Amino acid sequence: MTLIDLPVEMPDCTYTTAGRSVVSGVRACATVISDVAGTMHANAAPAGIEGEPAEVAQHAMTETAGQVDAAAAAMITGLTALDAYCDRMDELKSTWHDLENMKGALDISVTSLRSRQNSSEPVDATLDTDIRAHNSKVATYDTDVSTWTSDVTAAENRVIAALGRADTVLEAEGLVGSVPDVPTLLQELDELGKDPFAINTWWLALSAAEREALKVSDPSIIGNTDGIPIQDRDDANRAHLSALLNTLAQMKDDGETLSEDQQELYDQAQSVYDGLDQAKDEYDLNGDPIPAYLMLYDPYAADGDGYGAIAFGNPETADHVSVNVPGFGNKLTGIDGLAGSAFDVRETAERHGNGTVASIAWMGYDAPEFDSSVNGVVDGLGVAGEYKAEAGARNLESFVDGLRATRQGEDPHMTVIGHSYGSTTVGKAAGQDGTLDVDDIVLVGSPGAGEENPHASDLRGNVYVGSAGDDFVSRLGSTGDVSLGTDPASAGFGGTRFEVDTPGDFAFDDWDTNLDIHTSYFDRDSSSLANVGMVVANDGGDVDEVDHRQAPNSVWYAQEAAEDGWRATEAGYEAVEDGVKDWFKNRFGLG
Amino acid sequence: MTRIRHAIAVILVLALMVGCEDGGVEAEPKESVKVGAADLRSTRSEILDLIGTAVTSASSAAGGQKLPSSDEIKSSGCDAIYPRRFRYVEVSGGFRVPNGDRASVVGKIRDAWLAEGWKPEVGGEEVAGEDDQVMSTKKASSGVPLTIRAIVLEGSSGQPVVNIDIRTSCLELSQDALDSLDR
Repeated sequence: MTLIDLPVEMPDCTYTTAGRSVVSGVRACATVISDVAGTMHANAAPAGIEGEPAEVAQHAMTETAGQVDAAAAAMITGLTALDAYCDRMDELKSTWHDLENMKGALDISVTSLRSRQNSSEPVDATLDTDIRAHNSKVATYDTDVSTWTSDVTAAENRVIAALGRADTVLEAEGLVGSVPDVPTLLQELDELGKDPFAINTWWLALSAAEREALKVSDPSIIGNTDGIPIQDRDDANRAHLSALLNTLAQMKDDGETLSEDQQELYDQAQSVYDGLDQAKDEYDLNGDPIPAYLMLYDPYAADGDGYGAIAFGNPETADHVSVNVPGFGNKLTGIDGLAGSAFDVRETAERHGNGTVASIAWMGYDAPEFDSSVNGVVDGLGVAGEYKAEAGARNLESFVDGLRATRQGEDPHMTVIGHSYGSTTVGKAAGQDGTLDVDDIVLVGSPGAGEENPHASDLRGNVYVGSAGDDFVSRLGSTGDVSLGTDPASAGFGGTRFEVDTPGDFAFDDWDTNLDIHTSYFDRDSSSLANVGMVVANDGGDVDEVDHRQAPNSVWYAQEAAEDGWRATEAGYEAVEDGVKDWFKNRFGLG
Repeated sequence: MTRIRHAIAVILVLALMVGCEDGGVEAEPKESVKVGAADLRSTRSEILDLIGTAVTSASSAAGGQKLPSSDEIKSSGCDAIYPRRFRYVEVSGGFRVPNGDRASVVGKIRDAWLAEGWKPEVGGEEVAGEDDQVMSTKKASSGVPLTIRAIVLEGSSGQPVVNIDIRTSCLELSQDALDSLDR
């Protein structure tokens, strides 16, 4: 009788994603050192200078700058090695999981075969053949485990050797000359313009050291350039974010009072981290941790409102990719809320079991907002016009082109979701004047998809619309010449309208409820979120359809005003600032 | 008629702007629970204990293997439009079931949570006719309402993966409570 071979025990795999965190921390440190070196070089004097104390001081700075260069060179060398090590270990970790599964299957096979061997039943004709087949699998598995162990040792030896080349001051000084020429590389990038496909090709042709040097020295450029792969953008943006927050936190710890702008930067950074944290301790359908990527981080954009984008799941490999585009009132200090919505969209879509999903919270345009300052009012009035949506549409097109440029394999099923004014931005990107081309478009709480797009057929992609009956923003759409376009929920527009919940009744003097209705489309366990998830999972044909609006929105306004009475209606008007009233008087000829 | 429609639309937009003014009447969620630093601290501690119970009881009942957990709290804005002090606080954990199917895992989680004295409800049905969610509500000793939710994913390798979250209702945090969430 053939003996049943037992598979060897699995070796431990202690490598975790914490390895990446270490690299991320080192990169943030290197970014600060690179900034320091840049400042020192900018203020340094030519070598060999003698004379006045100030000049001598500058000379000293030149020398120090050289030492900082050595530190930066050592860190770039180390980072390049560590990054390569993490990439390799990610692959090996994946192999380890496969081997673990194989081990589990072989253990079950051993139990089953032993049971058959010990059975008192009549002769088992196929047992010997099955044992030989099993033993063959065990042999393959044992060889794979041995190879895996050797590969891990080799990866560790490589990183140790690389780090050993930069662990003394002398060695670090010797590395300065070998650091990639960052200004030349940036010039090359600049000459490529905004073509994400050309940028992606250029980036992939760079050496690992060149990429690392660019991420460390200019994280805000590398992190925010469409066409650069998502992991590299994330590396650069996290380094930028961490360096900035550490600096501001240190100022606070030192008892300094942050200026208003600095406090804004601090709050933005907290919000970005909170957004990224949404994926913490959450798992995908493979049982793997859901990755979060910081795809965009520019806290100075839009007059300090800031741009940011966070992806949950990998849009370069996922079967389904969605992008959430927010509306008025959104700025980087609130990206954690938007990230929460995107995360819930991803989760809801994944529950359909149609494949892997990546969802992105994209805050990459200057959304109209409101505050009590003059600039804020002027900015806020943008909600009644389309110019911010037009500018945002161009950014959105570039961002989505960047997603396509960095794809590994076939194009995904792609959905873009616009909420509120964000739906106008989406409409302008996917409509007659734009270039966005996606599979599905979702417009929720939409005041219109742009006046040049009166029909769903004007947009590239299947159009789905969620509009709560009492959502006053979704009632702003009209065919008039001062609107943001036709109401997407109307029969004339022709999109597929799906069911949403309406958590309350509109009232002219209850704006908390009115806003609650307008911001409820991504609430957990809501009909709206379930339907959005269906579209993202490419099950758009299954959404719970409801009838289109038939009557013009002016009729709805009139009915609501009649219900509430003039006193409540007038209250909204009386409370606003005179400057805003004047603007509307001029624009609409009122008063 | 067009002018009347425009006039009403203008009033609506103006009123909306009042609701969103940072310096005046700012937008606020319709429902939120005011929480100070001490209550937030106790709530955090409680939901960390609770996630341990929720994951352990469900995983044991379903024959699951726990997935790594950081045991850390996360928080997010109740909506991007509201000020930062309006936040949810949440904690997550998960496990994988090597030998199970989604329907039986859902049932075992429900039973396990019933045994904890909770009142779980089964639902979801993202895939028609197939429940994939177990949910229960509870109040922390601070009075903060909590939602405990398990979502059972049909794992790609035939091994269901369960994500469990415990989330507060929308909280209005005092400044010191908000500062305590900073990293």
